[in-house]
Order: sequence, then structure tokens, then C-alpha cells
Amino acid sequence: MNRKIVTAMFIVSLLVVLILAPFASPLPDGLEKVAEKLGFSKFEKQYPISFLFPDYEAVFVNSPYLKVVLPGLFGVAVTFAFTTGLYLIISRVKI
Amino acid sequence: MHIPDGYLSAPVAIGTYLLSGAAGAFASKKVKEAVDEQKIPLYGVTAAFVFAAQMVNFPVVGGTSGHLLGGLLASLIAGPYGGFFIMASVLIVQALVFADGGITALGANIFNMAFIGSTLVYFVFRFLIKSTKNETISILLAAWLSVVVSAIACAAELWLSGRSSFLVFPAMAGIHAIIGVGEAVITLGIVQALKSFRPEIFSASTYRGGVSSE
Repeated sequence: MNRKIVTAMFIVSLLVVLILAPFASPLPDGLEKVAEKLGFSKFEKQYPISFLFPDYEAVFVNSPYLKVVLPGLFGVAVTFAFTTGLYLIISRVKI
Repeated sequence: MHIPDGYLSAPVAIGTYLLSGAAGAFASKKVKEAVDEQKIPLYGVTAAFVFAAQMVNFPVVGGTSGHLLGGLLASLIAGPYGGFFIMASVLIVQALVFADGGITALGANIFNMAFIGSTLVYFVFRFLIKSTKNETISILLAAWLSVVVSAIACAAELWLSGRSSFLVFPAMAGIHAIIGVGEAVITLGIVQALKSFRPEIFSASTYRGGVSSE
């Protein structure tokens, strides 16, 4: 049963990226809006530490659809791998 | 409400790193005690889903958008301590790969959205379902609270960092009270869809004291 639900949820996650993410609202989120209104957005910094896709944008492609979707698909795969790996380490490594 | 680099003072950034580290150490002990290795891929895919869902901003009011945070969803599936690692993983990947949330603010973001938004809110959910015996209301209210309380914690960190006046509290709580409605409705929809498909993926103890799942 586990394999089926895991596969199904993985496919749904990919579909969310493929179908919904391109239509995501570009408006500022709650914190960004508050930061603009109260005037502390000027403190924002971005450190250039090997971010692959800053702000979820693939700068190397032209298609606006792929710009969003490629980083999203990559993120779904990386998050799955990272979390699974982290859990395996937690459950198996003795301290 | 991913805090970027530059918003937090050094003491607040370090303090929240320490708090999240302590929460992580405690949660890893708890997970180690009880983890069912067969379920690890399920936790991985829950994190992947939360990541995907967080990309989908929906417009709310006044030129602002929100997106699912997924803290309650994660802890309903993986328990309060497992939920912590699902949310922390998502936040780590977002900060390191996508520059969404600062590196120096990662401790604060994990504290707000993993520890408060997933672990603590799980216990709020347990309390609600025991006292109301109504699963729908408990999910809606706990999911809403997870966003609002995380936002208040975020406001406290900004205020303690000297970046904003006290006004940051009502501003953050107010807009997230609206975004939280989206969180509540989406969380309920996903939980119901998953339950109709595979009710056993919700950890058995989650609904103990509740009415609907056992």
C-alpha cells in the first residue's frame, strides 16, 4: 500500500508544479507586504551562495512556462530525496 | 512568511538557530524511538508535496498573496516530531537552492514554520479534537492558528531585531488571519482527499480521542 500512495502523491506534486505553479499569484506575500508598508524591506540582503534557482526562476531558459516549471520539478525531487535521506540518518545513526 | 537575510539582528538570528537546534535534537530523539522505516518514503513525498504547494501563491486582499504552509498537514501524517523534519527539510531546500528565506534566518524560519507551525500546532489539534469531537472544525481551526501564530512569532523576531515598530504585530497577525483561511480550507480538502483514498496514512495516534478515524 505504501508504494502506491507514495507514487500517487509524488505524481500529484509534479502536477501541482506543472499545472498550478505557472498560475501562481506574483503579488507579494504577507511578510513582503508588511515589510513594504512598515518600511523595513530595505534591510533585505541576498547572499550569493551558490543558489541554483534564485526566486524559483531558471534564468537559462526563455520560455516563461519552463522558467517556473523546471525549478519546481527539480525542487520536488530534491525535497523528496533530502527528507528521505534525513529520516534515514535520524532513524539509523546512533548517537 | 519566509524571512530573508538582513531582517534579523545577530542575537535574534543566533537565538532562533539555538532554539530550532534544540527542537531538532529533541524531535530526532523522539523520531528515533518510534520511526517506522516503511513510512519514510511517505514522509519524503509529503515534504515534496508541501514544497510544490508552497509554490502556488493565491491572491488574497489588498494586493497580497499567500500560499499553503502545510505544517498541520505534515504533522497529521508524520506526527508532531516527524512533521518538524518535513517542514524543516522544505525550508532548508528552499533557502539553499531557491534563495527563499535567508541562510541567517533559517533558524527563525524553522522555529516559526516547523516548530510552531507543525509540532506545537499538532498538540493544539489534539486538544481541539478531544474537546470538540469534531474533526472538520479541529482541522480548520488548527490550520488557521498555525499560520497566525507563526506570523506572530515572525513579528516578534522582527520587533526584537529592531527592524520595525510594534505595528508589525497587528500587521502580520491581520494579513495572516486572512491567509490562514486559505490554509484551513486547503488543509481540510487535502486531508479529506487523502483519507478517502488511504485513511491509514494518518498516524493512528493522531485521532486518538477523536471520533472519526478509528
